[in-house]
Amino acid sequence: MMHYLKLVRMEVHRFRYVLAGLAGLTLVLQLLAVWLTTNQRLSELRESNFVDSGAQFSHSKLSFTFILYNTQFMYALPILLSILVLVLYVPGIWYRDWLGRSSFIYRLLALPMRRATLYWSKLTALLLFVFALLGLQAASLPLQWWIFRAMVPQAWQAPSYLSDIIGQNKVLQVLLPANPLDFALYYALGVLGVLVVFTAIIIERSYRGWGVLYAILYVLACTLLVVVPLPLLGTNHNAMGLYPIEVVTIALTAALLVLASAIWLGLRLLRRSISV
Amino acid sequence: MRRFWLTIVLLVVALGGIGGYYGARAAEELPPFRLVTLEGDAELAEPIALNLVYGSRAESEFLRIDEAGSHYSTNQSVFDDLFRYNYRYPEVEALVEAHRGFMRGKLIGDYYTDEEWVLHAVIDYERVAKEQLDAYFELNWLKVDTGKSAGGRYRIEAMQGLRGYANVIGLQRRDQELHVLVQYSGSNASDEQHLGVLDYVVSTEDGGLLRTVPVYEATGMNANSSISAVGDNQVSHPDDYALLNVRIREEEPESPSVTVSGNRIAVEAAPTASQYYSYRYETGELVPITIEPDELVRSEAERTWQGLYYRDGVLTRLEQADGRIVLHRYDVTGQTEHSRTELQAEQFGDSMFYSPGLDGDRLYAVVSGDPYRSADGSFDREGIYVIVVDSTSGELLYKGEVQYDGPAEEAAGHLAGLYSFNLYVRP
Repeated sequence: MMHYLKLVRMEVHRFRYVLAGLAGLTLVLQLLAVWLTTNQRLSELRESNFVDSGAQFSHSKLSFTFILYNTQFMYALPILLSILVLVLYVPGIWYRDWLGRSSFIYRLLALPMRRATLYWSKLTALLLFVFALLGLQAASLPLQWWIFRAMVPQAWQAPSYLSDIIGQNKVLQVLLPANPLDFALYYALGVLGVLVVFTAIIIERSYRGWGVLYAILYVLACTLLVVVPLPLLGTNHNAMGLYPIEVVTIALTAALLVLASAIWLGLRLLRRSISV
Repeated sequence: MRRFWLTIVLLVVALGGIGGYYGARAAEELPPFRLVTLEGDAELAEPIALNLVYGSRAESEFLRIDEAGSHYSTNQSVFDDLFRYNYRYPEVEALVEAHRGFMRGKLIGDYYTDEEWVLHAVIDYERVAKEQLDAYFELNWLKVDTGKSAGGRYRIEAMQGLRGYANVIGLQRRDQELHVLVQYSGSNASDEQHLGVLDYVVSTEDGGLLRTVPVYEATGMNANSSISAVGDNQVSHPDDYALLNVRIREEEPESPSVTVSGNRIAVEAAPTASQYYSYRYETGELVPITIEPDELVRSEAERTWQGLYYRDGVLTRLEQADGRIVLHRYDVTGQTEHSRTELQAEQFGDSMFYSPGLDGDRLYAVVSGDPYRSADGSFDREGIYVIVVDSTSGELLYKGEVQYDGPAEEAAGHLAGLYSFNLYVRP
């Protein structure tokens, strides 16, 4: 257990500056987007000689929801950049050990512990990066809201609701879905993707030259297995005579099989095919 | 432990941020509503649900209100869509629940059910040449007590040489004979339009086609002409008659006149003759029904609706214009209007009817006020009521009201945000 925790800590430590950069960029750019948009709308309101009609929702009032709707690109940019960096770091977390100075991976593999620990620690670290950035995004919303309230006079403020706020930005809608069950589904699929890529990397490292081809074929096969059942069998037509619940069960079973096989194959190759 | 501080911080940010977000969303409840019985038999409200929109926020929310409370669509999971059968009609879903094996692969088509049998029919096409499709109907039947099922595929000969389509518009059982009413429409090689209805009679004994009864046939009309069945529900029940509405549209004029009035352009349309017929399965008799012209003045009404309903030998025409509903009932065997009922929304507490509909002898409707918002975003109305009325006598059987299920001082504000009523009655 201690080896596992130490390895996780090591991965966090190695990625700390990139993570801090992404977190900082997200905070600063989003706050700037809210500040700039609010300022702009306030100027427009002042120019149009604001009159309080007394209505709860009025074109002459500002809501945080409305502000967020008007910040689309600048608000989503740091999120998309973070996603890109993290996606690139999925292979990066392995290859930096192999391709770095003096092949650090061989020292890691030679440690007196099960090699699976290395595998799980890398997965844990990646998930920690993803969820920490996501948690930061969720936690920064109240801060942005507070800044909006501080900038806009009370009489000019229209109420906002969290569900409406999230609904204003497509990226936020996907990253923080309304239903916790959807959250679990989306991120479980993400974990599945990460594990398939992990296994593909280990295949490539195990067989080198031909390994590239094997890895590509492996990723293609997994993608087909997970993606194809739903459109092929369909949940809203009866071409195969299956009920929708049966189609969904087949798709979920395929995903679980891919998950289990990715873990099994990845760990087996890491243990047996990679020699120090 | 100190060496792990960054890892711990990340863990806390992740759990705190995401947990806090879902906690805040759960706490931020949308206002709860409930359908509360004011008068009459509360059991009649059991199959009723009112679909509407709550618009007192920046984003409008769709919700359903029934006796149990309100259910917002915002928080639905993708699983709700994935696991729900994509059946358009609850009656089909009930058939799947009762006859899972027989219904496999039959989620599309037309159905008939009685105490002993379940029938399913669907149109199928087969390409025989580059521009030639052969049309068939597939008929399957299940004898409920034995659990035995059988079926067959039958060619629709009338579609031979036609480019067009066919529909099943009626499905019935008379003892050991199964009747499939097929409507076809299409044009032949010389572009002449054909339209007709055939009654295919199939034996349950061996699946053989016993006879084909030509019910209606016309040629040379506009391609937009059509025949439909009144009360054409996805699931049919035992009935002696089928009610057909034949709409023959004349050929479009070669130079249609165009009138321009402001921003509106009106193109003269070819006249359409609409005629109703009752078709008796047992005798193959087709009898025209004379229906009185509309009596409500629609041009001055904000909201109008007209619907035709057929059940057990009675054809009912429902006309609504704002706060007035008139029900004309025709006896299809005698081909006469045998009763007329008129209702005013004021009788039930407000000025307008919304989403009226008939189920047998029961009229379901929402009664509320002005459909348009005033300057402050609210609606001018007394309340939102759901009524069930005996359509033959006009007697009120049930009256319920949508009420806010929270502190009384907040009720007016939340109720003012409800609009766009759509009444749904589970069969």
